[in-house]
Amino acid sequence: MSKRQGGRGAWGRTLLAIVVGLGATYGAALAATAGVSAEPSSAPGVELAEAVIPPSPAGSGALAAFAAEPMAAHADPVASYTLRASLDPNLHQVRGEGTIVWRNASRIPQRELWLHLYLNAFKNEKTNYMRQRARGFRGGGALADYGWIRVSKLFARELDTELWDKADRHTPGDPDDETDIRVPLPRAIEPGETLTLDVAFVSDLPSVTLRTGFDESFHMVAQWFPKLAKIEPDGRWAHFAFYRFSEFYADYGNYDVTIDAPERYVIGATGRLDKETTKDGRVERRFLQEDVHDFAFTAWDHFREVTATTADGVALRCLYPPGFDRDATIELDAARFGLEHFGAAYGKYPYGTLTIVHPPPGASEAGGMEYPTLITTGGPWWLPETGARAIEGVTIHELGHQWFYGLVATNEHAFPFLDEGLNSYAEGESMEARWPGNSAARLPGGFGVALPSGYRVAAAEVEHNEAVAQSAARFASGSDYGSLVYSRTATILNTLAGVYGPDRVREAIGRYTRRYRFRHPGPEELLGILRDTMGPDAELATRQALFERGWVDYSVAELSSNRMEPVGGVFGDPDKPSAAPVLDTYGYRGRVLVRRHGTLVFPVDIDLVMDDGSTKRVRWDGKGVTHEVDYEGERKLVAAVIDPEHRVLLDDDLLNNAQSDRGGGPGSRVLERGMFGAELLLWLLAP
Amino acid sequence: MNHAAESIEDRPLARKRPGVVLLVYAFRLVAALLVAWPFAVTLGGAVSGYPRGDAVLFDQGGMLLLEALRRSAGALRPTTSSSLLLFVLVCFLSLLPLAALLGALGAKGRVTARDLGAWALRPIGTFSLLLGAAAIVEALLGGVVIAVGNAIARRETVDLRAADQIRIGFVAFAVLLVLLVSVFHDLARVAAVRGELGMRASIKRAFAAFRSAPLSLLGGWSWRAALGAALLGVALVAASRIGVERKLQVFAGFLVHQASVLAVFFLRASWLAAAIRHVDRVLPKPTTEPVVPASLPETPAENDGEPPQAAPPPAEHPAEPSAPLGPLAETPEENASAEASDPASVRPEEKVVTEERLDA
Repeated sequence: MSKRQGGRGAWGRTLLAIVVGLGATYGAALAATAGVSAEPSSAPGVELAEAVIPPSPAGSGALAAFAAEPMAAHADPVASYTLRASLDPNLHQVRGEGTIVWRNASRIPQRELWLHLYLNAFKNEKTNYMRQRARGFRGGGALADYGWIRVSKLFARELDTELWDKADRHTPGDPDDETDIRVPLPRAIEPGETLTLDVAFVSDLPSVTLRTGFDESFHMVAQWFPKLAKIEPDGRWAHFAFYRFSEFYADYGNYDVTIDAPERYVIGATGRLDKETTKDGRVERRFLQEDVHDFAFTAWDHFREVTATTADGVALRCLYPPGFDRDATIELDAARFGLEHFGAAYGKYPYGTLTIVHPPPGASEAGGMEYPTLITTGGPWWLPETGARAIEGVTIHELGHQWFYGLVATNEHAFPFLDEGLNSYAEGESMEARWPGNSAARLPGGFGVALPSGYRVAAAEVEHNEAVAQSAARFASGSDYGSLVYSRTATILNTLAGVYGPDRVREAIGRYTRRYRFRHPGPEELLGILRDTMGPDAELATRQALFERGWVDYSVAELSSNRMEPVGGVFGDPDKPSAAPVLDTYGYRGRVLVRRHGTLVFPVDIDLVMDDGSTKRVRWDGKGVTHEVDYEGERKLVAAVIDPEHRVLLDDDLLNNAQSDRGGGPGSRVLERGMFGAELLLWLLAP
Repeated sequence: MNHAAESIEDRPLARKRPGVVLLVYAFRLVAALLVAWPFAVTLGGAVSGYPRGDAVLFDQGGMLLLEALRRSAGALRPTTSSSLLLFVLVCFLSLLPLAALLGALGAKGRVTARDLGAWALRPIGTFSLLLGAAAIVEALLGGVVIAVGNAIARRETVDLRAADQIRIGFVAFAVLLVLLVSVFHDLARVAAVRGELGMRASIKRAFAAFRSAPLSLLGGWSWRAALGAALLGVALVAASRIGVERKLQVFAGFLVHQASVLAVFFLRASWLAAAIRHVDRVLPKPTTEPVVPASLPETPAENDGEPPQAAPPPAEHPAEPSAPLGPLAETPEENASAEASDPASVRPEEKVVTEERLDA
C-alpha cells in the first residue's frame, strides 16, 4: 500500500513538472514574443541609410505614366489560316485542308517560302530532334508511337502553280530531318504582294511528347499544320528545324479553323467558338481568332468543364479530368487574378476567351504550355493539399505567356530568355503579389518559400556554365537551358527590382510590352527600354548578365573591433616627448573589409551590428573590388552583413555575406527542430 | 536482483515507474540528438556568420535556407546517409530500453541499475526474432492489401482521383493492419518478458491474451496512441507559433516538444503496463516443483516451447498454495483463472530455486 502511494506520488511529481514546465514555457514564450513586431524594430542608435529606391505605393503615378504608353490595337496580319481539321481519334490522325493567305511583309522580293512541319520531328529516330543527345528539361520519355505530317497539296492561286512538287524534301543540310522545308517560288513575290495557298495534309500524332500527341483518347493537337516561318522586315526568313529546347516563332494573322470530331469529344481550342453543327454522330466546331500567331486544340471524351467570366468580360473555360474539380477551381481563380494583374502591368488582355486545359496524368507532357488564348497546366489532383503552389504557378506562368510570346512575339528559338525569362519574372512578381513570402509553397507550421528564392538558387547553380542570351539550339543541357533561361533571367530582373526598385522594373517591362504589342522585338529593344527607364548602369549590368555570363559575389573578408587604448608611441621631439593625444571618444574602434568578386556592379548596403543588437547601416556603391568600413562607437562591433535585405539576388554566395565574431558551432534551432523530427520518426518506427 | 514473490508487482502501472520512463525517454532524446547533430552542425555552420545565427534559416521566403541547402549539398549527402544508418541502429537498440521498461513495470520495489541491465539484455534474442517476424508479417500484410487496392484502382481508368482514393483507402487499411500487428507485437514482447518465453510461445500467449479481451486491448492501445499523436501535433503547432527568433523562444519550443514526447512515453508505458496485466492472465500457472537450474535453457530464445506447466502439489503439503514463478504474479481479482485454481504455497527452498532460475 505504501509503495503504491509512493508510486502515485512519483507520478504526481512528474506530471506537475510537465505542467509547470509547459506553463513556464508558454509564459516565457509569450513574454518574449509580445514585443516582437512583424517588422524589425529600430534599435537605439541605428542610422538607416537612405533607401535605395523608395517603393512607391500601389497605383502610383509611375504606374499610371507607363500605363499610358501607346499600344497597338491589332496585329498586322501577315500569315492567316483558314483550315478544316477532321480528327480520327482511333488513328490519332488529323486530316486537314484549307488556305493560307500570306503577304510579303518584308522590304525584299521573295523567291521562296519556308514551311515548318514540326510533327516530323517525331517521325523516326534520325530526325534532328531525336538525334540530339542533350537531355533534361522536358520531352525525355521514349516515344511509344511516332508522329509525322504529310503535305499533299500546296497550290499557289496567284501563281497557278502546285508548289509542293518542287519543294525541298528535307531540312537544309540535314537529309534525315523534314521539319524545316524550303519551297521555291516560280517568280518573286514583291513586298506587300499576297499569295493564297491551298493546302492539304495529314497529321499523325505521336504518343504524347514535348507538348503534343495523344494518350489513349486524349489528344493535344499542337504544331499540327504546315506553318509558314516568319519573314523578317529585312527579307530574311526566321526558319529553323525543330530542336529539343526550342519553341516557336511566327507572323501574326487571323485564324479560322473548323474542327470536326466525334460528338462525344469535348474540344478546346484557340479562339472563340463561332458555330457548332452536329451531323451523323460528329460535331463541327468553328473557332475564330484574330491577331494571333498559332493555333492549337485539344480533344478528349472525358473532359469535365467549368466556366467563368471576368469583370472585363473574358470568357474563361477550364477543361480538366474527372476528379480534378479542386484543381480546376484553383486554375480559374489564378487565371482571374492573373488577367487582372498582368493586364494592369503589361496591358489589357485583348482577346475575349481563355481556355485552360488540364491534361490527364498520363499526358503530363502536354501540360505546361502556352498557345494563343489556350494554355495547358498540369499536376496531380492532390498537389494543392501538399502546400505547394505548383498548380497556381503553372497557371500563372502559362497565362503570362499570353503577353511574353502571345502579344510580344519574340523569337523563341533565337532568344528564349525573352519569353520564358521575362515571363518567369512576371510569374514570380505576380505570385508574390498574391501570396507574399510563400508563393512557391506554404509548408506545415506556416513556413513559406518564395518563388524568387527558388529561382535564385536554380540560377546560381549554373550561372557560370553558359550565357543566358543565346539560341535554344546552343544549350548543352536541359538543366542549363531551364535554369539560365527561366531562373537566371528572372533573377536578373529581380536584382534590378531590388537595387533600382520594383516599380522601376515594372515600369520598364510595362513600357516594353505596350510598345511592342503585336510586334517582334529582340534583346536590344528590351535593353533600350531598361536604359531609358533605369539608367545606363542598369542596362550595362543586364547586358553583361545576359550576354557575358556576368556574375557577382559580395563577401565580408575581415571584421575586427577593439577597445580604444591610449595611443602609444613617441610624440614630438624624441628627446623631449610630448604627451600622447587624448582620445575624445571612449569606446571601440573597428574595421570591416568587404570584397566584390565578379564582373557585375551593384550598390549594396552594409549593416554593422553592435554587441547590444543595434545596427548601423552604411552604403557602398559597389565600385572597386574592396571596400573598407571604419567603425568607432561606444559598443563593440560584433558582426557585419552585406546586402541584409537580399536586394542583389544575383549574388553568387549569400553565406559569405556576413561575418560574426561569435563563431560557428551547431545551429541551436536546427538542432531543436531536428531532434523533434527524429523523435517523431522514432515514435512512428522504433519499438 | 530480487525476484522473490513479494517483489512481483501485482498491478503494473506506468505511474509507479516514472524514473524508468524518464530513462527510456532520455535514451530516445540522446538518440534524437545524435541523429540531428550533424545537420545542426552543417546547416548552422553554413550561416554562422549571420548575427542572428540559424534563425535566418527560418525566415519567410526561405532565401537563406535554400542557399544553405545549396551550398551544403555536398556535406549533407554523407550526413544524411550516416544519420539514416544511425536511425536504423537506434530503432534496433530501442529494444533494450523497451525490455528494461517491461521488466521494471512488472517488478515491485526499488529498481537498481543492475536490474535494468539484466531486464534489458535477457529477452533481446526473443525480441529480435519478434521484431523480424513482425516486420515480415507487416510487410506481407501491407503489401498484399496495397496490391489488392492497386488492382481494384486500376479498373478506374478515367477518374484518376477516384482511383487514387481507392489506393489511399487500401493504404489506410494496410496501416491499420500494421498497427494491429504492432499491438500483437507488444503483447508478444510482454509475454516473452513475463513468461520468459521464446518467440513462438510468446506469440501464442499474445493471441491468447488478445482473445481473452480484444476490445479492452484495442481500446486501451487506441486511445493512448491517439492521445499521443494529438499531443505531438499540438506541440508541433505550438512550437511553430512560439517561433525561433530568440534563444528563449527556441528553449520554449524545446520544452514544449519534449514535454509532448515525454507524455507520449508515459502513454506508451501505460499501455505496456496494461498489456502486462492482460498477458499475465493467460500465462500458465507456475510450477511448484523444484526447478533445477541445470535443466533450464541458457536463454529464453532457446526455450521455444511452452513454459513448465503447473504440477500437482506434493501430497505432503496439500494445503500450501503454489507461488508465482518469477514475474508471473497474479492477483485473484485480476485473473479469473487464477481464482479458479487452487493456489499453493511455495516452500522456502523452492523459492530459492525459483530465484536462481530467474537469474539464469
